[in-house]
Amino acid sequence: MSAVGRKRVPRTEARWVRWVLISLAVGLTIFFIVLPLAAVFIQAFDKGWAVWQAAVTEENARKAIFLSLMVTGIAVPLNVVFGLAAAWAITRFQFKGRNLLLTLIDIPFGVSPVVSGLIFVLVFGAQGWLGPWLADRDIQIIFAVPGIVLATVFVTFPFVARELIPLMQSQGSEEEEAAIVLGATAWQMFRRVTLPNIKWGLLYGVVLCTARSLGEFGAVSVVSGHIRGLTNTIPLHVEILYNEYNYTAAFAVASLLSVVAVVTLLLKKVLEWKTREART
Amino acid sequence: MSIEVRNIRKTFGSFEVLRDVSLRVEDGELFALLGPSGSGKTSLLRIIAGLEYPDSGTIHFNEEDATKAAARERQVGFVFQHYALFRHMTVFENIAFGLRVRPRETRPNEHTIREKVGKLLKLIQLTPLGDRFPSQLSGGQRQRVALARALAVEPRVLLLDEPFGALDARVRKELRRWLRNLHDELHVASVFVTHDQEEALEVADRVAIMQHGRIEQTGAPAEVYDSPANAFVYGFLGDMTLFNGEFVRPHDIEISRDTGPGPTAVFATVNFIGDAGGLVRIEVRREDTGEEIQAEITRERYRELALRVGDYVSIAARHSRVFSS
Repeated sequence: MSAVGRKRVPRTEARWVRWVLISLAVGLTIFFIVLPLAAVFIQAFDKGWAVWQAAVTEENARKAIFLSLMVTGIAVPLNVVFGLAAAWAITRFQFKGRNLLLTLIDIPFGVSPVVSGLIFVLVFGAQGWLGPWLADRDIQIIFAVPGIVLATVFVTFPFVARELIPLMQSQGSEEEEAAIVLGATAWQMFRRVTLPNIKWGLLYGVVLCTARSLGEFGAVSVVSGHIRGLTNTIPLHVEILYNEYNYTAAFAVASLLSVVAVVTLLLKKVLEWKTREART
Repeated sequence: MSIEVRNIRKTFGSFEVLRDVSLRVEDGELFALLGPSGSGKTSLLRIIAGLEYPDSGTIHFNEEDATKAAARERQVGFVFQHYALFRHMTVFENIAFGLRVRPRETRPNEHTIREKVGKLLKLIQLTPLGDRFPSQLSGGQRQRVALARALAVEPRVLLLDEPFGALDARVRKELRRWLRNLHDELHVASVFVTHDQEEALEVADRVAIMQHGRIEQTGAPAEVYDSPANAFVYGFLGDMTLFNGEFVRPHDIEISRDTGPGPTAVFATVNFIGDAGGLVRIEVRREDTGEEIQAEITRERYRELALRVGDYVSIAARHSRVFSS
């Protein structure tokens, strides 16, 4: 980056203060973030490529990966639909309870994931409110895949809506009105005007939502029951391996999640840049 | 096509935006809705377009009731105050939008679309800029694209919300004349909203002056200017000053050096002189009541009188008006 075009901030701090602060920030970042991330990969490949490959292709690992992908594949599209609907309602209509809806959307961010998981156990579990009713009909939600999907949807609910609301607010509804007056149907308006305007923001929300769905541990841990090969997602599988002192395998599987994290970070940067462009 | 609005009422929450508004715009007429901000003129325009619905009252296009018709069925052209161009589409695609979203049976083919958009680009004198995006255009160019986009669907009526509001003074005057010429060419009933009386009086065939959700007066520009219905209209259409309890236009105040005594003579001292512009603005203070009165005199008269601040003069009103309240 060149010095030209960069805003010069008036400095009042002494030179040594600046250097101490910068070294502190860089030092802590390396110590707490870069080193642990590097350690994951070093541990994962400690016993060589073949052992890593065996750990991630072993049957239970494969089933965990498949389950995680499936849960994400259900949770993300659902939250795209919910997020779009919520953002649309909040930014395009004035109605009673609008602020309440805004607050409700944020609840999953505020509640500990473990509590989120417990909520579903309380509602759908064998001793829960709907437990007997579900048992009569032979429907199992807790300690089964539906519970994992529900918990994941709950935890990742705010990502898409939270990203779209400020974007749609700043863009206003005039372009949509223009489309309608020009004869567009609601669907044509959405597809040709709304969606192109929010696509980068939407994608940003999808990336965050995907990363969180793949990596969610707390809520899923409560509802899953940790049944190997059946209700274990990637993070739960890592925990089991680790608890069995199978460090290399644990880190090998964990390295997959770390790659997801790094890719997410890169995508996030690109999309942030694109959304800022769309907002102006 | 004629537009008729009958007894429209509209409230937003507890705020009455429109209170029993009725008006008629004849086919081929260029009609101005003039009023200060908050007078309800934009709401009325949006109701005509179908972007809002009235609480009561009806809208008729060519005597046909369109009150319940959806915006997309009304075939109106609407030019938004901030243009509302589709930011991710080129100028060409913006103009073509209304044609591309038509149902398959009535949608023109690609060749016809190209031809039609080309004609419109020529009409707005932007032929070389078809591939640009809205963000690469100046305010005046965006305004013209917004107009072309509205015209592409061959609207039965054209509605414009503060069409020149966001432009600088020179571009404004140019576009104003251009719009008038364009209207004479197309001859489609058009309604535009403005808060600028000069704009309304210069461009429109007829004007409706609005205040607090009501129409105060409707008529041709000369008609409303020369015989205003009330003090609000009088004051809104031009500057005014109060003289002997009556309303006077500043250019109807006469200033003279003749300060001899007379039965109706009013004496005053010059407070302020603003001599930049076609007319010279003079502010005087009456000797007897201390009231401040605004006057405008020609530059010639100003030189003749050789006025200075502090001079002692006599004043009189050529025309004045009394409005019953």
